[in-house]
Amino acid sequence: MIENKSEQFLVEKFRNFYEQHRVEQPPAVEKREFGFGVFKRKIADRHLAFRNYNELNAFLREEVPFYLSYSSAYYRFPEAQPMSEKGLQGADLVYEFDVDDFKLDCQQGHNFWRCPQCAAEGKGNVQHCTSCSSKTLVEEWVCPECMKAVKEQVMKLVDVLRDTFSFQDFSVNYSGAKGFHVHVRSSSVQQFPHSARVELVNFLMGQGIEMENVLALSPQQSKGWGKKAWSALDELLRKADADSLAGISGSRSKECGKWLEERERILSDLKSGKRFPWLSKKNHPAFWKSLFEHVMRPQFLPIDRQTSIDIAKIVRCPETLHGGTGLVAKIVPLEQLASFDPLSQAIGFSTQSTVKLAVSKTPKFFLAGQWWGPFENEILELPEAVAVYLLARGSAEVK
Amino acid sequence: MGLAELKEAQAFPFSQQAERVVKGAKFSLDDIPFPLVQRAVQIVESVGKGDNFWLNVQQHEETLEREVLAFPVAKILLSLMKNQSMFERFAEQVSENAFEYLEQNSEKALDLCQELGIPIFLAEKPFWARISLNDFLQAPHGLPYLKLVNARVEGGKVFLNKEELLQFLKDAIKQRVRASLPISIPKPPIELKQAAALLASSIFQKQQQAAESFLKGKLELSALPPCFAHIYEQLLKGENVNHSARFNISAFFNALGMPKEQIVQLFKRTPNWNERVARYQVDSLVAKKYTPANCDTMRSYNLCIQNGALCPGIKTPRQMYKRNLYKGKSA
Repeated sequence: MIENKSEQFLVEKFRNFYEQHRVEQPPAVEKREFGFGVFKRKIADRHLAFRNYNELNAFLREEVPFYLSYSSAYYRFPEAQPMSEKGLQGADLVYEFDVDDFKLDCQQGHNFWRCPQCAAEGKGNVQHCTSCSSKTLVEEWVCPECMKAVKEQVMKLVDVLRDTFSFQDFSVNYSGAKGFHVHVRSSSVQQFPHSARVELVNFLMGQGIEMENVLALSPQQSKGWGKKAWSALDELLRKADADSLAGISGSRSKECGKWLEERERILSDLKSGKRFPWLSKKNHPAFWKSLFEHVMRPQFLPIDRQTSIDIAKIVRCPETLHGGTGLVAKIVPLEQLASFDPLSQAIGFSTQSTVKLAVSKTPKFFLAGQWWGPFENEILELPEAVAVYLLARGSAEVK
Repeated sequence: MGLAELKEAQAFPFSQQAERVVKGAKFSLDDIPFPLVQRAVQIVESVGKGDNFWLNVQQHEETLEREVLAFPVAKILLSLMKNQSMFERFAEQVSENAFEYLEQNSEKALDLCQELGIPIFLAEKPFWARISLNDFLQAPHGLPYLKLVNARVEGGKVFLNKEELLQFLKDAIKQRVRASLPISIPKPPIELKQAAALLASSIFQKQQQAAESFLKGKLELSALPPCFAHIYEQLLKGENVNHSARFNISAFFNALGMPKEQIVQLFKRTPNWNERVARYQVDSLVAKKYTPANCDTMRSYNLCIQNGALCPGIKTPRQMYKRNLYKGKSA
């Protein structure tokens, strides 16, 4: 049931969008389970199925869901309940990046918190009120810096999928809010057992990595994380001074200085395959372990683990609208990923016509190619795309 | 079939070679010779106890042939028992035996890959072979060096040295045998049904006794898993033990029902013993109901002994404790 004027406005805009934009995603639509959400609730119901894209688009136009999600799994009877009756036939691999999992400096500028108990507020991702220690409500925004950071990780993932795993047939889409999804759809991966999906996620996140195994071979012989580890260690040792090594390893600067006196010999030995005695038990494995962890940490990917492992999960349907932002979950060709700006290129509404709004509070935010705000308790005439964004976020009401 | 072929058939009882031996024996489900049923019962009993059913098998043709022929009968008995845990243990035991054989006869590894339908290719030194990532991922691998994150992966291929290949094959064999259970037997002979029922009653009674002892909190120190046995020994000797070890052994003993006071006294001999601190920490751990760590966590704290090699197929120290407890009860 539509509760207010703002929600009504959004429903009409979303309907217009779906009347003008046909959605032909995901592949094999007839085998997918779908779920939909309403205003402020991502999943209100699931176990829906559509026999073809015509049925899917009719649903979008008539029911105007705020969110549409679909299963990475393929089912014989996608609408059947319970899950065990659906007749699982396989599942894509899905990797999800969300800026919530990143610690970025820009978040201090555009996220803000509010205490529901004592009404204190401030900037950043503060989880407990600085006045009364109660749990805060954090309002999260994104900016071009956030999206750039997430895209870098997506591109790293794509490189691994393509070069290390030799996976083909994958697609990337913006989530419509704070991240990206990467789908791998080749027929071989669809049959991966659960254990395989766990192994792949663990590889990407570096979970369970062991220095002794990974560095067991020389730099020339190593493959996978071993090759990257050797390269990164080489670079670190070349550039580091005693103080920085001390900071990384927790050892004293004087001790690190001694290591660096032997720098050339260490590097030459490692290059020629003589890993011992440098990595032997006698030679301070804890020191090497701390360097290893330091160089490897940035290599690993901050993926949402559950999305990749749980094939019963449903994810945003590409090319549909995200009900919390009004942005489109746009598919991005790989060759365009580097230059893709979701806050400008995933717009589904007019930037010309305007809407009158009562805006509560926003930081300075970027959308449709320019910066807006900050706003606080103002009546404004804003472009439709910006209005939809603020209304969907709950930061404004239609006037 | 000669001795060498029979040894191989015994090592790989799921192989076509073994199947030929079984087909050559020409007996049907209704006229399985009694000695084979007897041997199959012994095999299943051993599996139930966690013992190796290969031990003490004489290596001559007649005995080896009996072993090969008893394998499918053992599978029938297991199928009639309908117990997932027993299927898992049987598969683990068969794969362990195959692994031992392969360690002595590694030249058989590549042929076995072909038999199992795993395309494998020779690789340049220091590797022995390479397989596709897809094939590598089909079976779950327990040992850390076979986890994908630690493996040599490049261009969609995993490069393995000899030891890794043999361990990979062990995991693939285990999966193959596990997937073959249960067998569908529409009209099982009454003798086999009775044998299975007796086995189930005997094995599960012992398991129940072990479980009761476990649940009642009667600590059997001899059943401690290797990780905590080592830490316990260090504490008895008065050696200094790091915080992770102290925390985890406390959580483990608490889960087994050891009284708080007894846990506190464990640390009495440590060089930095402080009763007030120890009591506070144990009280806090008990109040917060911390669950004992699993094996992956123990490894991450460097508390696992020999990287899990002493505890094949085990995921948590409690699981190993229960298994040791059960073996002790069965002795």
